[in-house]
Amino acid sequence: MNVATLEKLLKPLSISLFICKEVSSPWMNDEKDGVSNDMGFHRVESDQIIYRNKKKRCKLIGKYVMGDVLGEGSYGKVKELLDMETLCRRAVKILKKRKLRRIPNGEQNVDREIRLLKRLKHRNVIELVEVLINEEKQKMYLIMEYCIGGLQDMLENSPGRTFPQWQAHGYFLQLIDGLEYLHSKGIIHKDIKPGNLLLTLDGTLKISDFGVAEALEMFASDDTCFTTQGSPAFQPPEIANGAESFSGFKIDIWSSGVTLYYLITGEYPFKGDNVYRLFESIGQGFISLPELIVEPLRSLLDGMLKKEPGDRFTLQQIRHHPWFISQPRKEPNSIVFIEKFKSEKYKRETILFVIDDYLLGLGILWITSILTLKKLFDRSIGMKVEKSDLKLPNKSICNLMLNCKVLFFIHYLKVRSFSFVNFSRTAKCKVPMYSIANPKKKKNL
Amino acid sequence: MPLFGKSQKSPTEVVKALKEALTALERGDKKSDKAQEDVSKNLLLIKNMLYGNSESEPQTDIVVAQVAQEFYNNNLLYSLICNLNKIDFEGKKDVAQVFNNILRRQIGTRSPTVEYICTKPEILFTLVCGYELQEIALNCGSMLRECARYEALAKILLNSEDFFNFFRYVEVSTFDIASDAFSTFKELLTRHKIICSEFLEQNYEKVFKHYQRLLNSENYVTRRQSLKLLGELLLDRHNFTVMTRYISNPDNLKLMMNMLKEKSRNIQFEAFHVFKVFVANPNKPKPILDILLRNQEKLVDFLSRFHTDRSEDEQFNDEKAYLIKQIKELKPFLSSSTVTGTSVASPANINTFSTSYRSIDNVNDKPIIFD
Repeated sequence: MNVATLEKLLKPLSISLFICKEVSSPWMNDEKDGVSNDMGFHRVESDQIIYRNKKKRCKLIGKYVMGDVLGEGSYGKVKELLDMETLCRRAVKILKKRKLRRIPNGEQNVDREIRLLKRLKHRNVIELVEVLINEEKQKMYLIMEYCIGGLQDMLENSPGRTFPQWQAHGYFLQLIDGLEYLHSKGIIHKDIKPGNLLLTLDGTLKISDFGVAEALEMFASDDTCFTTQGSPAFQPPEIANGAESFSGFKIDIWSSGVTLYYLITGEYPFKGDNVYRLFESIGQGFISLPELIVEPLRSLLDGMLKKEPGDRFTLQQIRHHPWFISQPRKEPNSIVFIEKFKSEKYKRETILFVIDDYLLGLGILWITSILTLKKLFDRSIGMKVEKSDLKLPNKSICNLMLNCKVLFFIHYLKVRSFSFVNFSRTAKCKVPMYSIANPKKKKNL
Repeated sequence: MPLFGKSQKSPTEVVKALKEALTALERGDKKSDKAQEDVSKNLLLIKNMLYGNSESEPQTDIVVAQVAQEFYNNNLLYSLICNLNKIDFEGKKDVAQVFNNILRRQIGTRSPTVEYICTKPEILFTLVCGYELQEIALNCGSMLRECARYEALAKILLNSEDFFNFFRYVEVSTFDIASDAFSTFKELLTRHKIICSEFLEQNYEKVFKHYQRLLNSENYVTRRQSLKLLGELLLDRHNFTVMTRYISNPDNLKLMMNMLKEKSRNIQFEAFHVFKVFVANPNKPKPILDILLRNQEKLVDFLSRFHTDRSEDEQFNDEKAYLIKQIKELKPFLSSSTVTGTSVASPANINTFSTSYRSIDNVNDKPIIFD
């Protein structure tokens, strides 16, 4: 192996992951510095390596600053956003039209989802804040309430893959509240499962993903449906047995029952190697609840997972069920956290770092914002900020820091006379997205 | 029990002291100032037992249970509410807090206070009447809304004659009281879907006779809020039967058409969302169809210029387009016999036709002309 190939091998590494703790400031991450420091092979202790992706560009959509990817679906990515006007965290579902066309009913489903979501406003249903369209890039941005994670992810990261009963109880109550609202609006979700139940920072459950939901006609006399595209493991026997029409509300009850079962036991009540086997087992509708499920939960699950839709509980019956009414005692020791959420002071905030990097790239130091913060404090509250406070920012100081930084950022953009072109729904909209490339060049602000 | 500090009175003693002070206050003799002070002092003690304060944690379940039990035994909830206006300002707030805490108490699946109040519904009715007195209206409101969260209590309230007082309370001139009353009113009508729809079905005539008054209120806020709530109630699937009944009454349609022409754009917009239900109905009764046919052209013209600046709101524009299409395609009502047959043969039919015709004209004299 000669030197050239070795260099080739190392090249991508040296671009994508480097800097150690002492020199973690991004502006040091200059080619010139990198070259001048040492030409040979610099040894870095394994615990000193900070993995860092290629420098992020700061992107704006409308009034939002774009952050990191939160997740990825079949339609496209979900990223974090920060509303610069209100400093609210948001999430954006980015849909590419090209991708959508490839999915059967893709465009229709998205269209329906948007229509449905716009009508809904409830504590336990995800809120669609706005929809932006970029015709040029053929992209659609669904800006939603920010959620920190879903029940499915939490389960997968929890010991035993289950929730303690009291925690599951809390989520189930909220699920039923949200579901009752949806049904009162004549909407059948059809895809209730832990993966579609998200949580906000304060632990409020949000029913999300209305991709396969159906809205009943305003004058439909009952809730009969003919189609369903939900996840197989959560489908009721009548669908597994291929019924042509079925009661829509009862599907949601069944899948809520399966969800509750899954939250408590960590397993599906019905299993099968493939969809056919699974449907066969569901279709028989025979369920044996494990021993660990005791009354009153046992009779609730039993009632929700009745094979005959007619025998299955209604929302009203669920509400009156002893398990639903009971208040299980909280056991804080057994709580399942959202991964990483427990100790992280920024609550997984990703935009702060983008802005941080950006400001550092501009040569504006972190200290500047601290000074402003200090001034702000002194002037308004007459309170002094001790240095030790700043080391470990508490919540309110964190917020203020964030505030200052964003203000700086906006100010900078204004100084540079960037105008914020809002997205419009018309086809003729100008390229509304600014990616401010290579901030290093603008050091001399 | 705290280990040091002043020896604390037991719940029984405090409740007893409160009871005595209240009786003195009720009698209203010369010592009433002293009594008022005592009431407040004991209330504060009880509140601290239930909620804790800056120095102490809230007490254990046993103490809370004792407090609640003493309250039931002495019928104290009722006498506190009856004398609420005689208690001082802070005391009133404490009463509400103590009440709400005791109400939320739960043993397993049972809520003993809810069961207790079910046996003493006069507590609820006194609370409702609290809206009559300006000084205690908001305190009573907060307690009532807490009660409305429980189905059993909401049912008692809905089925009582006193519920209809709310139609008066939501219209009072004091804004904060009116809006507080409205939020309680809304809570009662929407919280527990099943009993709400049962109530509306059973008392349809009476409720909507009263409701009509709200929609015609002099007060802009009342008019707008009640119209909004009406839309919410009608479009809730639980109230399907109520909705079909409501939209088959031509008077209601006329009212909505007039509201479409209101000066306030907000009211116009809310009225639109009720009006659309009349038009979208696939089985429009004859009188409704007649009115729509009478005004067919005017309506199409009016709707195509209705809130055109709401170009952002796709849903609204779609609905508007749908309504325009529906109205354009309206055909006269054809029964099994021919058109001439019906209009000539049955005088009764003509009669209804002409009355509805006349009523349209009446409407037209008012500002309903869609020009």
